[in-house]
Amino acid sequence: MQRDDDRDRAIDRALRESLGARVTALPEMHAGEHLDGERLAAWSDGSLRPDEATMIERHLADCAHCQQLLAVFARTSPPQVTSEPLWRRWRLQWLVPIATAATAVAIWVAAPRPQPAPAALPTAAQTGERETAQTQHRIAAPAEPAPPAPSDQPREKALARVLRSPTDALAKKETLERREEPKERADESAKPSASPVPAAPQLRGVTTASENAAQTADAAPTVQGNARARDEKPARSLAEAVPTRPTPPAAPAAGAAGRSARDDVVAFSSRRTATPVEIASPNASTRWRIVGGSQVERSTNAGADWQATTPLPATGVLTTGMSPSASVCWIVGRAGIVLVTSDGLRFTRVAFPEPIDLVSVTATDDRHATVMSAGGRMFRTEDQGANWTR
Amino acid sequence: MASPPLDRALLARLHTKARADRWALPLESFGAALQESARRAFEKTPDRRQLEKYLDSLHLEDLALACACAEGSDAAWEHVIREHRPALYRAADAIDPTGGARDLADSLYAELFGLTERDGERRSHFRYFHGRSSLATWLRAVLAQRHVDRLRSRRRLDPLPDDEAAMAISAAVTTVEPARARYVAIMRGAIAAAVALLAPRDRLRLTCYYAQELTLAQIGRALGEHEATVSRHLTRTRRTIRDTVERDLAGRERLSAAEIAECFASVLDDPGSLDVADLLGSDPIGKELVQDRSRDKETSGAAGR
Repeated sequence: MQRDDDRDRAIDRALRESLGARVTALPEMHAGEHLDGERLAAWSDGSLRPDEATMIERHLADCAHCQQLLAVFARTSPPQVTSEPLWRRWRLQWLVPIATAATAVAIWVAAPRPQPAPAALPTAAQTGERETAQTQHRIAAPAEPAPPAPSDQPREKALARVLRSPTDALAKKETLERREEPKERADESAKPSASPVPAAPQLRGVTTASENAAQTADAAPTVQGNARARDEKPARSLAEAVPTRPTPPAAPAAGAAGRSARDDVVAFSSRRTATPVEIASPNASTRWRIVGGSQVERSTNAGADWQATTPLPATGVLTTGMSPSASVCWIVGRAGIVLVTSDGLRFTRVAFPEPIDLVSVTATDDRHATVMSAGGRMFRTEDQGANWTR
Repeated sequence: MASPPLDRALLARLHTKARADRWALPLESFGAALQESARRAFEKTPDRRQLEKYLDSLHLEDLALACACAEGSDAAWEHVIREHRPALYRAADAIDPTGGARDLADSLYAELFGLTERDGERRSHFRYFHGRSSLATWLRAVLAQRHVDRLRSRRRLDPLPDDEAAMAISAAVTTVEPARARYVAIMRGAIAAAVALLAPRDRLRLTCYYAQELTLAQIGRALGEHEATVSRHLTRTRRTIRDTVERDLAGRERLSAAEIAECFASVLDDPGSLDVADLLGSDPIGKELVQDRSRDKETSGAAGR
């Protein structure tokens, strides 16, 4: 006699096979019969009228095409943020400092208290430090300089250890960020000089006030504090170090716009370097990819094997690219890097008028391309970068 | 449908509600976007009350933002860069963790800005946003649609399986025990009939779980239900199917209790798939779309199995 569990498992398996088989047997898609992105989004947000929602649900239940769209869409939905329980909130806020203070007091009381050494006159700096930490043990008298009294050292060390521990992570983070900062600056300053940049072509077009603002956003990143773009926090630990630094007086004006564009590019680049960016060509078998943010590889068998291209004529972070044909690929990057290949393997650097960060490129062939900066400015060339217009 | 009339007082109120002055969006531009949205939503010209109710239900702030971006407002574009672009890239990474959907996000981003031109005029893809969902949801949906479209176009270029493989498959099918094949066929028919009797939402939940291999959490987010609710509904639906199948086998197929047990056992025993389509197993779309099921499925347990 079969158990209930066995029958349930049988149903489970049969559903998996039979419904899964529906995915493999897709009918041809006819335009107009299926959900588009707008209706799917409206349905998902619950913004449709009840009759519309019912109709879409009915269609979704039986249409494998739209189910696949829904599945991809569902995978993009961000996880819901759940609020922290009350007990956790107050515990974290109050228990940590209270426990730290209590431990410090306990160690202070319990630590051994050796006999006071012969008195010594501390230096002015030592006096200042001691007055804040140990006023009751101040030594008043004599005149000759001597090593600091050893009496409070165990306590001071213990206390320092305890007091350091809760903020250790923060202190380490700040130290790390301070270390990273000059490195980042050095990278940026080294970048243009490290690679042979073709002479900047002449830029056609008139610069308006708004363009000036966007230009400032691209080219002069500033360091004003800003609480926005919270969504990007995980990706920009380095960028978050920026607001903690004092604002340099030289560039105070670019303000929030500059910072956000800068942060965008930093986050953008760091994400880019983490995973290879694949650039598909219209030919399904040919594609390129940016590896490690600075190297380019090509595949001629749909990504099965990858071959490094010839050494790039520019060093720096590459962000994205586009391939209008199987042999042509445009790649852009930070600090005005624009690369193009006409044979698929040898990239040449295209002159670009400004050392700004580029985040997007569209091209129709090896001569015509439009690139976009992080600040949203567009530049177009029709002669492979000899001239750029805006 | 002709554009419904929009009086100035209503337009001004919606303009204020949308905080469109943040982007210095002209009243006329916003009005045109509202009219276009209404034109697409109604098959017949709505009365004033219907129209007002519809317009009030729109995501007006996002619509104003999209309008302003399409009009070329720097402030609005800066807002999109700050608030929406990161989400767009996160969505691309969620679709393909290897970065394969990044170029789609890039091209969409470029189209939003309006890199393409028509009749000498810059055309921003924001013009296709009509405020019926939030802008963030719309961007995710458009990205998902492009990803699916691309997979379909790639699939068309893939070669068909060669003759040897097809012969091997047919041989595998014919060697399966005939009795089991009969029971499996009966079970398939009964299950298909039971699934067809379900309410559309139950059917959708089921296909999301079994065919698309979404996690409970993903299904919940897609259908606006809690993960636990999805699990509960799936359990109930499976139970319904089982009851229906048992009734069907006993009633319509006139099988004995022993034969019904054989039917269930035939599905449970796994000498290999009997489904030819499954044996062919060549669904690049399905396989590419079905990424790893995220951790939350494991944490959710057996989904009421």
